[in-house]
Amino acid sequence: MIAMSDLFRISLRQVVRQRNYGVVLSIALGITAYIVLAVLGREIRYKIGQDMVLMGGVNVINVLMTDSQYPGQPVREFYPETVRAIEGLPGVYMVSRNIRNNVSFNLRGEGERSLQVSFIGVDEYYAETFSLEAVAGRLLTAEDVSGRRRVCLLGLDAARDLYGGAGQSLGKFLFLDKEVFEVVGVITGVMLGSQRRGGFLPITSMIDRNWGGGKVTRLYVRATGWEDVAGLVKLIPDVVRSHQAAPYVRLETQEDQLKRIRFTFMWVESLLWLGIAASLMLGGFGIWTGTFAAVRARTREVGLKKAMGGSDADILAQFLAEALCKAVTGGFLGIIVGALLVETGAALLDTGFSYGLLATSSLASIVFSAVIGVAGGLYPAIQASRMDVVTALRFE
Amino acid sequence: MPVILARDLHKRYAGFDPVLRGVDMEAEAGEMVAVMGPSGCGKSTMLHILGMLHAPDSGRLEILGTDVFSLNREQTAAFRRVNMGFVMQSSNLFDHSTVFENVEFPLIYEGIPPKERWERVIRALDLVRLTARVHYRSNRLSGGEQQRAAIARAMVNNPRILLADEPTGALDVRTSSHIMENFRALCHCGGVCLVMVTHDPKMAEYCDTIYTLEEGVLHCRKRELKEIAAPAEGWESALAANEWSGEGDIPPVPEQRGILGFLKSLLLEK
Repeated sequence: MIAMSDLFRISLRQVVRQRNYGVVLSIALGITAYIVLAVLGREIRYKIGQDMVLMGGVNVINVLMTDSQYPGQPVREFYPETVRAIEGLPGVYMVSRNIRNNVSFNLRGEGERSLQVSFIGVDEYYAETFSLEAVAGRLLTAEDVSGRRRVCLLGLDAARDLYGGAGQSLGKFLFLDKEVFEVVGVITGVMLGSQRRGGFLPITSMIDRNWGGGKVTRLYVRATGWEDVAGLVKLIPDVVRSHQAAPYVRLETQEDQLKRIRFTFMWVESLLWLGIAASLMLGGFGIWTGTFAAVRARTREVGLKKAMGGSDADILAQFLAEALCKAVTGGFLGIIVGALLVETGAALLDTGFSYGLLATSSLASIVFSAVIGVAGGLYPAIQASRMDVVTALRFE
Repeated sequence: MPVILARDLHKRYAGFDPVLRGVDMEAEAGEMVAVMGPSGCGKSTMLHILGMLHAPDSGRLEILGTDVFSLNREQTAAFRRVNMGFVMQSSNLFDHSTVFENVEFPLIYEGIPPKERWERVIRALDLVRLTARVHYRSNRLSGGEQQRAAIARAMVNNPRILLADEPTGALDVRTSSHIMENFRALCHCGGVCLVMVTHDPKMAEYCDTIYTLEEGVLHCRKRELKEIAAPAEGWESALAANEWSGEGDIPPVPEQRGILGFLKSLLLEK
């Protein structure tokens, strides 16, 4: 049997000289996509998912005390220990406390403009829970909430209606029920909805003044991902009731949107994997047809090699090794390009990735491309090895 | 003891008349044997049977004292690898390969270590005066040079028997004569037994023995055996001892070791 070192040296030489690069590129493409999806898939899905999810608000769970709907019931609020217990649940990204009822004030803006503005009480986590951003000024801070400061935020539309723009609103003083509050920021965001025309006060400031009932009657629980929502919906009521009396606690989720997003993602992901499989299969078929073509084009060579003493196993090994070289070369190329894309993608998404996962998926890629090479090249190689010497020598 | 001893070989292809009807043949070490006959008379079939590429329907064949029909497929391949060389009429060389890579191939099958191959390939090429073309791609050689390279490849593993199927069929007279002179040197100085199928009476005249194959039976027209002291180790040792000095020193082994050397060889060859 021909030595392995000679076998692969000769095979690699054949691959380079025949310039059959289409098959190599096809396998490289498939492996690149596999590496990127395997290593960065979770991050990409999370990042893309975040935008889609936040648009629909599907990973935010509203936890409400609905006692006021039941006559004779005392209005209960969420205790701090209940909030901490929910924060500790697996899959909870953050919890924002909120006073469920809003309070409206008639405000006077520039040019004698008068406007009814609805305010809600929020804490420092509200903006992050709903992915809101400050277009001017700043967001509420923990110091604003704990210091019970007389500051507020305005929604972008409210700021425009009152003062003609976000920047112009900063530093303005609002008279809310004869008390003065300073506008420290203007916020906006996809999930803000109608509250873009409203205002936001520190929850403590509202409690002090008994505005909106003066109790924390709503929690916004933001789940890490939409996959966590279903589990949390089951867990949260038990956690609440284990820490306080809450007979009428109710949870609200965006189930329809969640289903829709799940469905969309399933299709997107399926199409991605289908693309990878198609590319790899294309490579496999390329090797299959390429090896068949090589066997046919080199029939006389097979005859000559057998005549000079090459055994069936030698011929089989040679064609198989050539197929393997093509596939594994494609695999290595795919790993290099894939690793570069992972690095670039991680930088663009501003995230990290696991080098262990990259190494594992690279190893799997080599094994997988070798399997493609063997699977694609085996049958034609067997055909070549079983060829009759004289028939092969007479082949034109 | 004859190198080749064939007795009563019969061969018939399904649906056709018998091609061989009891062929008897003997060939000694160092003997040049020509087999002539009209087209389709079975010359190549006989050569393929002698080379163990075909099995006859009946008969006996001993090569170097071994009953070769008793060998299995793998043993046959191994026997051929060690003892025989083949030269075909045309398209003898591998595409996409240099002269060195072509001639090196039998040594790879034989498991000769890489460091020994260069010298043996150069000696074989020197025998056919083709050392200067060692790094040329096979498709850049002329027809005569290709045939000489094929002879070098057939001889590189130091075989005792050389089987040639119309080796000068595609060549001009001058080149054909040159090739036959090469064969004569190999046989008469190196002790190699040559069995050659040819149409050309002039080429047959170079041989010690001439057979004609007529209606499946081999007739001997001429047999003039010369006294040859056939070396046990084959042509390499004989030529090394007697005639080697003519072509000068063996060229040095090129630097082709390691991955860089391999890549360099792929890129820089002629």
